Amino acid sequence: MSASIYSNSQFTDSPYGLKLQQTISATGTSSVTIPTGINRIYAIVIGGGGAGGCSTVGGGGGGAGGYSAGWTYVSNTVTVGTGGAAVSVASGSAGRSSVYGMVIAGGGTGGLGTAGTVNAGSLGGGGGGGVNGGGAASSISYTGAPSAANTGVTGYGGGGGNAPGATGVAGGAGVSGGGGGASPTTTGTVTGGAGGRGLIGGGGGATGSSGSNTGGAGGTGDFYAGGTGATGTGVLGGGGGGGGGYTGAGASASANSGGAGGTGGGGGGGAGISGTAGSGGDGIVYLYY
Amino acid sequence: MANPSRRGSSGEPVRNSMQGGNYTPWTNTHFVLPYGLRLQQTINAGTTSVTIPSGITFVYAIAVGGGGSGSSAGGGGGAGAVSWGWTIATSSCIVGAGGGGSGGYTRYGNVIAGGGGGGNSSGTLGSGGGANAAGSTNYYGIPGGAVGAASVKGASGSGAGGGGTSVTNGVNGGIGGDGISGGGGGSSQTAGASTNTGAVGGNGLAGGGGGRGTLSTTSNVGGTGGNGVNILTGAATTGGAGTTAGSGSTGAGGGGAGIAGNGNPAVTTTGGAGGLGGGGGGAGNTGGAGGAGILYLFY
Repeated sequence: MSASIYSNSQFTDSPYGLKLQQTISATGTSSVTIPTGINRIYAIVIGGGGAGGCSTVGGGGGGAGGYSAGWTYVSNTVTVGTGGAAVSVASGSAGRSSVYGMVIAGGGTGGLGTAGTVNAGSLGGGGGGGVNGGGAASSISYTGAPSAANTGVTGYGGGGGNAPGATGVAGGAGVSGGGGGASPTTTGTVTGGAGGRGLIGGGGGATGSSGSNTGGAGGTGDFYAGGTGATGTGVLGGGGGGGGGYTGAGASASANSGGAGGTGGGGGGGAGISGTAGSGGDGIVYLYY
Repeated sequence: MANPSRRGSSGEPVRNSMQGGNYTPWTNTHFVLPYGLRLQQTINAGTTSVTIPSGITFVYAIAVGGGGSGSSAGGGGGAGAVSWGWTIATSSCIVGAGGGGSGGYTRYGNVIAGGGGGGNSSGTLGSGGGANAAGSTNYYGIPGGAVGAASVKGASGSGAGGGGTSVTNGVNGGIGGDGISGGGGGSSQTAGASTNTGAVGGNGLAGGGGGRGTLSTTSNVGGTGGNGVNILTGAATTGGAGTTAGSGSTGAGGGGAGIAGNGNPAVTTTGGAGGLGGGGGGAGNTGGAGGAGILYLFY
């Protein structure tokens, strides 16, 4: 038996011409209603962004949430991942995954904090920015694209920027940007690494100098900008800006506190001395049919 | 025969017509191309914004990263990666420049292609490895090829491995691996009286740069750049020729072909530049630049 795609009017691998029918932004698992007769859905799924890190010398920025898209069978449930939460003087939490049917996107890795613990994201999420050394690598994507290394390397999910000296390295660019590296230098003029640019931006790295601090800006997203880093002496500056999300801009940092990542997976900015890191932006799910 | 790009009835309510006003359903059927769609925009390196007509929600993108440059100490550069697929429409884009070192990446929406590795270095996201370096895994998870040992051809892969440099006078460098994006050709650069011949770059949709021959006291021959394919027409694109030099000089490698242009020939001791659309640069005393990336948008 043979079949021809050319004589089957139902066949297409294209989302071309589809209409956005449902947008699910409420986090957690909920039910969705798909009309009778709809047999497959084209889903765009974005995971939550990673939170920024907190450290006595400035925390790394959080990685952006993963982005996945494709056809799936119809499901009556959907999960939207929350953005990672900031943790006092520790690495930020990773964002949570978003799922519809068999389309799944992971969260971004949290920015690194004092102990350098890596709270890893998954499935396309950007890597977290480092503190006192290397950042965190990104995750393999839904399509199989490889992870990117933890020195700000470009990838589907950009690698987190590292922290080698007075200037943090920017997060890697990609579909989901990596978090910027914090600067480990505690005196003089220091600058955090910017979040990685992408369809979704990573969070900026922070600084923790007793001198002049300028936190890294959040990574620019295709649709929304990242927030600015904060400038000031000691605790009056150093917070990193939140990364631009798919559906909202990243928040700017305030003094030593990082800005929150934009909604739709933006990475949170790192915290300066005794500050609070920015949380990651929540994920989102779009259904086309 | 029905139009295969037509939406079926399962998605009601949906748009009933194609998004693009004009399309050519029975032409441009090369495998990477989206059947039935029309090429609407070609975007070159350095451009950061595009205008998509209102009502166009999805775009089919073919992204090609910039090629890696040839080395002045090793072999040819790897070709830029090629990625393709549907993505959400956006007004932002990144189109990578050719190396100086590794090439820049190209991205539209969630379709992303890495830049080729410069000679002696690996690239990212599906690009060919420069000589003496492995290729990389691509957007779809297709593995990259391993680097060739000394004088051995690089392995095939989505991004093919670079050929190994020869460590023996009179033995050719390793040929760049073949793949979607070709690897750079290895050089032959051990002193002696026998002819040193750089290897040809690997073939692919975009080709790797050729290796160089140097330090022979009689003859030094540069390798030809790898061949490619114009993915809009299916026609071959060709790598540039290498040069030949005598004692005390260098035969430089030709540039690899891109998906949108032929590779450039080497000029005396300078490697040829890679062709437009990700061709790798040839090796020489001065390495040839990688070819610029390119972005095609269909809707």
